[in-house]
This record gives sequence, C-alpha cells and structure tokens, in this order.
Amino acid sequence: MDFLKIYDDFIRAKEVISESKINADGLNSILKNMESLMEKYNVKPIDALGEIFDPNFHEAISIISDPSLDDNTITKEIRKGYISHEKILRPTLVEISKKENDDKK
Amino acid sequence: MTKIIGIDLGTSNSAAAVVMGGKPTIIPAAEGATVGGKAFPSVVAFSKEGELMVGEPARRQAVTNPDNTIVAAKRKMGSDETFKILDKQYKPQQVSAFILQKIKKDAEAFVGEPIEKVVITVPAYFDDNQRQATKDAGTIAGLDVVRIINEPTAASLAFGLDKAKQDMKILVFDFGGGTLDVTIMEMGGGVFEVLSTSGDTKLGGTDMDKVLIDYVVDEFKKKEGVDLSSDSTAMTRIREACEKAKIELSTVMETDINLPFIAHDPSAGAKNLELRITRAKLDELIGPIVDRCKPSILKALEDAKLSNSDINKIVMVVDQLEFL
Repeated sequence: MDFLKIYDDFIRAKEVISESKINADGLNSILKNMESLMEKYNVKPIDALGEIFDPNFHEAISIISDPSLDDNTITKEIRKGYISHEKILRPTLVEISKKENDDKK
Repeated sequence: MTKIIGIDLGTSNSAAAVVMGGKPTIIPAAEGATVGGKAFPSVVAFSKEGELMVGEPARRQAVTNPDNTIVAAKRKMGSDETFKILDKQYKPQQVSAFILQKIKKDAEAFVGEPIEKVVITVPAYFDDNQRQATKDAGTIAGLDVVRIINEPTAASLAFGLDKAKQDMKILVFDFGGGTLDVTIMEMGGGVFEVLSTSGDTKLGGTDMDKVLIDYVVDEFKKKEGVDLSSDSTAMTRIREACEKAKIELSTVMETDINLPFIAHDPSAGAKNLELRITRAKLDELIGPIVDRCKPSILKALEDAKLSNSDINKIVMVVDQLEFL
C-alpha cells in the first residue's frame, strides 16, 4: 500500500513533466521498473473510466449530472485502485454521473 | 468445542474477534483493507435491482444511492422505527442481522469452521428492549447469542480487571470514531455493575482529523495562495495523510506531511505540500476537543455520586477509526 502511494507520486510527476519540455526518459524508466515489480506481485490497476460503477471495485466520492450518460457511469478516476490475486488492495475512487439532478442533495 | 466469536456491533463500524491458539485475534473482513482497517462498516444497502450489499461494498456506493443505503441502524435498535427500502420495510434488528450474517460468513472463511455461537457487546446504557433487539438480530442471522455484554465490561475484561483481588471502581473512557462514552462501574469478585453512564454522541476521533485537515488546508492556502478544499483528489490525499500523521504523533514528537504535486496550475507550475506537524501543534489543535470530553466525565462522576479520588482504575478505549 505504501509502495502504491509513492507510485502515485511518480505518475503525478510524469503528468506534470509531460506538459513541459523536460526530458522524461529517466522518470519513465523508474516507472517501468516499478510496474515490473507490480507485475511480479500480480498487482493490476482497476480501470474504471467509462464503466458502470461497481462497489466491489470502485468507491464513489462525488456525483455529477449528465443526461447523456447512463446512470452510474464513471466520469473521472480520482485515485486509481489496484487488485492482486482477486483481492482489492484499494478501490478506485471515482466520480460518477446521474441522469437527473437530485434535489435532495 | 466450537469456537465462539465476539462481536462489537458498532454504530459506524463493527469488529469481530476469536480466540485462536490462546490469543484473541481480529477477524478481517473479506474485502481486506477497509477504511477502518479490518473492521466491517455497519452499512447495508440495496441496489436498484434489489441486490443486497453489506459492509465495505455498501459503504463505497453510499453517496450514489443514499435512499437505499442504511447507516447507523444501531441508533434505532429497540424502537419501532423501520427503514423503508424499495417498498419493503426493514426493522433495525433485521438490518443488524445482515451485518451479523456478513461477519459470520467472513469469520467462517477466516477460522475454517462453521460459526454458530457469538457474544455481542452493547452500550452500557442500552435498556432491555435494545438488548433484546440485539439478541433478536443474532437469532435472525442464524446465530446463538450466548451472552450480551456491556461494551465497557468487555474493555475491562480485555485488561484482565475481573481477575483483580480487590473490589474497585472503574471509569471506562471510550473515545470512538464519532462518539464518546463514559461509564463508571464497580467490580467485585469478577462481576461488573454499572454505576453511571454519560457521553457525547457528537464527539470523536473524526473531529480531531477534521481540525488537523483544516489546519493543513489553511497553511497551504497561506503559503501558496491555493484553496484545495474543493479539489476532491487533493482532499482525499490530505485526509489520508492527516490520519496517518495523527496516529504517528502518538509515538513520535514530530512528523512530516509530504504530498508532491498536490496542486497543478499550468501557469504557476506544480505545487507540493510539505508541512511539519509537531505533537505540541496537534495538542494545541485538538485542545478544544479534549476540553469537550470534560463535562461527560464530570457528569458520570456526579451521577455515580463519586469524586475523582474514588476511582481506582481508568480504562481507555481508543480506536483510531475515522471513519467516514
């Protein structure tokens, strides 16, 4: 779990660097090493974007209103989750859409 | 002899333990890591299709489906109130039974044998109705509730106070995730008698997390001029880091919160959150919350007609649950 947090930080660094003109080869190489370590322990990311929310893999943090999408469509991954040997290490935190704006909220 | 498991059927989270090889062992939820560590969130929900979800999956979907999600059923135990979900009525004991069934299932997988007998703890202030409702929940879940015991008694037993040679007066200070319970008991010959109970249902560890989170967000705003409070990704990271810092400060005098790339502004570039928190700072921040515990303690003493010096033992029950 602690490893995943540092991996998250490297991914963030990559995102920031990719927007600038700085050479990111070294960073990509670190990420590759981390990913091969994850592969060794069978740690796989839980992809969520565009899928229908499933509480077995995802945790909903926020809701947006979008009539063009099916209810409970995942519109944003707030933090990526990981699975290893069918055990959830942590769920992917997501934002989902609802067709109607619920007045009660 | 079949194993008996002990269950703390909590308002926000439940936990279970079993004696294995002579040692009490916490039974982990099948989902593994949850917000409360190994605990079972006391949440029950139904999907639009009527599918039942209990524990961690129910908690994860709570914001998407608030109408069909039941939280804090414990507060309604023993009352005639029901929860209406998808045109069906559920009594609080039925809702609690769903949680107990989930614990039974995960416990059986963990222990490797069928579980039939349980001991369930209840707050000391629960009346006969509330105790009976808790027992009924066990029966509905297919369990034999061999004993209902008071939460503060369970805490005292964990410290072996029932084995003490002399009689004593015990104050149990249970500072949970969301509530504070203070109980004064008298123990004689291994038997516990409740003298008084008091508490605050709106005071707990979550309040301490909140003041620390607010402090971190304020400091960052002062330093960088960026308000992170509406950024859900940043707030998720800050919340986790603050909980970790709070726990660490119980054993060390200072700790660093270090969150790289917490904010990213195309014009100003990436911003990192680096903040050192000392135990003194944390003590200062939570001071007002600690002060709010005082009236509950004084009330418990007053109701028991005792003064500070009459108390022989203080049992502190502190879980680091926040919870959510």
